[in-house]
Amino acid sequence: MKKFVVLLIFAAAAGLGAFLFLRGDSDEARVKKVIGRFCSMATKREGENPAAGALLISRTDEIFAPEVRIQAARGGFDGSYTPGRLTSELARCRAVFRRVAVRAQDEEISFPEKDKAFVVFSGTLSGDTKTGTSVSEVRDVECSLVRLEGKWKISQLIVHEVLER
Amino acid sequence: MNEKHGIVYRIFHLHRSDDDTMAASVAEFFVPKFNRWVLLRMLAVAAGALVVFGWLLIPCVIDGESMMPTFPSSGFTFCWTGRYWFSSPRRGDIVVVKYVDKVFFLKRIVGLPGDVVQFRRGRLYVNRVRQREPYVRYVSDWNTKPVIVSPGHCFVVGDNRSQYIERHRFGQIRMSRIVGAPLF
Repeated sequence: MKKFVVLLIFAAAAGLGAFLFLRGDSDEARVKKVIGRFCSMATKREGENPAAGALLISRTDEIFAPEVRIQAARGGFDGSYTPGRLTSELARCRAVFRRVAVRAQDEEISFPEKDKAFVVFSGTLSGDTKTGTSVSEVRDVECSLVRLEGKWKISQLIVHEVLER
Repeated sequence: MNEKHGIVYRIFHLHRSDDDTMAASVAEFFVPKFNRWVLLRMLAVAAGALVVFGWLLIPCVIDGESMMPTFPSSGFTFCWTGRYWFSSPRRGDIVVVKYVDKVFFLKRIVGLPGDVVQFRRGRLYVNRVRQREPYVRYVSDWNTKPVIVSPGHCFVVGDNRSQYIERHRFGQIRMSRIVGAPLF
């Protein structure tokens, strides 16, 4: 009986390991990882070391295409951006907050063409500004990605209100 | 339990009435002696409750006036997530829409993809046809521009249109945000 239980646990662990290994290698997982990295770049912990923050957002070229189109319902971000300009915009936005958390939830990933991906997700932003105002916002985000030199990179971000009139 | 207590226990059991036996059975059902089967039963009940109330019938506290008088400003309902497993949302359906984490909106669908939705002097027009809405009881003065509902979206609004239009949350939402429908 004990042998059977040990074998069962071993088989379950092996199955889980294989699942995680195969899942981690899929395009879907890689796309999710890019979205996750974008969120962690925008997230700022309380008392964050400024140098560490600057280092984190200096790597925008690893997740953004050479030209990124942004369209937002509010905020005045509409336009084309290079990764360098995105770094400075991120730095400007992060400087407003004492603490900010950006999360992507309920991602729906599709691959309309070869080397192109389309993700729709619910983006949440919550934090406290340096002036003491609490901010909590939810938006629907449409994100287009292209595969450049084997890596998925964000080429377009369209931000919608959840309830759009 | 020592021998003396054991004898008392046995005597008590021999002399008690049927009512006592039944009460003891009920008590044993709710507060059983702990053993392997009781543990399994507890785990099965916990797992069942997790599945039922975590995914199928999500408990929701209603807090807001936007669906009055169909739903009170405060109350309780369950969100039945299986409502659209085998069918698509239709105009007039009341749906539970996920906003963020544990915040949901309770709204009515008034427009489907391709529909043109507009409010004129508080009356709802879909594809330029005035809609009969017996569930709307309060006077409204809303005016909006015509909106074409995008593919993959639907237009939702509450039944209480007497609220200021700026305060009432309504508009197009992604269909994938619809979690289910209220059970009652």
